[in-house]
Amino acid sequence: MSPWWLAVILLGLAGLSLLAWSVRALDAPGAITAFLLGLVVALVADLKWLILMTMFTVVSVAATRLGMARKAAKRAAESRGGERGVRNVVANGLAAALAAGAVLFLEPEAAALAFATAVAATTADTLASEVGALAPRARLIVPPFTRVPPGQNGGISWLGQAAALAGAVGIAAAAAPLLGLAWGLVWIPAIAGFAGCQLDSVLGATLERDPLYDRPLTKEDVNFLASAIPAFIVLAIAQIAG
Amino acid sequence: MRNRTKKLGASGPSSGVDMEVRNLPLFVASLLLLTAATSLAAVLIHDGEVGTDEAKLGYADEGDSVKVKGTLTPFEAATGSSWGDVLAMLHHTTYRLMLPDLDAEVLVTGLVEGLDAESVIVEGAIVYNGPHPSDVAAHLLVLDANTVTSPFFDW
Repeated sequence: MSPWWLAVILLGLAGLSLLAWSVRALDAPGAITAFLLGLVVALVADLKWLILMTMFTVVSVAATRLGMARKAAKRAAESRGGERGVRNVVANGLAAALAAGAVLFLEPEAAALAFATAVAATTADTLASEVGALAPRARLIVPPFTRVPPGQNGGISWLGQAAALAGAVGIAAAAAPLLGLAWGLVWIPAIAGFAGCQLDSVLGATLERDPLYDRPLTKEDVNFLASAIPAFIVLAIAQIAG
Repeated sequence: MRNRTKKLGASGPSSGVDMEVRNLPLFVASLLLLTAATSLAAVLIHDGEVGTDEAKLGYADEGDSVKVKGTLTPFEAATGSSWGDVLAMLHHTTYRLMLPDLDAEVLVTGLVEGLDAESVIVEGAIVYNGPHPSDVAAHLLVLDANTVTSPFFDW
């Protein structure tokens, strides 16, 4: 890699991390973690892959801050005013970083599909949560499908689902020019990413710990699994199919 | 630390995007860093330091569009019947493009005169990719140039 191109990557990542910290999107350890994860992706894969990941970050920050006052009134707001830390950064970025690392060992197109799936899943899940929290009503995704307050673990709404689908499709469409994916394959990360969002809701309704239920998984565990599982499935199928 | 709270969005504070700046000088510094990164990237791409296709020349098909950076040197049109097909593809002005690490001779045709010894970035289509007419063991590529630009800097 050209040292000048490395300088572009380092300047860009430093700027993004500092920007995220200064607008309270990330705390200091979270910003440093995001810098390091982004550096791994840019070095093992390509700067364009990092740009796709950055799109998730921008969408996530904007969605978190959308209607904060209304969400706070509904007690559905992200804790700490939407500021995220190391655990959240790792939960949302690790699956994508691992998929980027797969490009060193596996078919590049398979790794690109898995990476796009991971980013689409985290984007869809974030939009479902943050936009869905503004919905007037929600229902549990699992039986008995009872009405629940918007923002409760495992709750889904039409508004949240529409935002999730839009997010997954948007990331998948951006992945075509950025990752060099054929347009005929864009449906894979779009569908798998949206499915990952549904998996997050199912895990949230059944296995995620909350004030009412002492369950085995934390919110960060659920976030990671919801992006890692569909990404891994896509990677395995794409690698086998060649 | 001073905090500046700025609300975005047209629908009023309850449904707008709320953004609070933790530290204004560092916020500005972050924007400057991003501007520097973007500007440097734009210059590197313009100057052909990244985003060029030298690596794919070896397996490019005739008709493929490529972008390559190299140094132009004079090309003296060869004689001999073996050059007939290739010469028919060449325009009035043709140069030899020196590319490091490429085990083939590259001719660039369709450029203006007076570019000898210039470092340039050429975009165009591959019109010939096959055996060298003067040496069957060697390889020749002919690039019909659409655009030629000079880099801003000598990297």
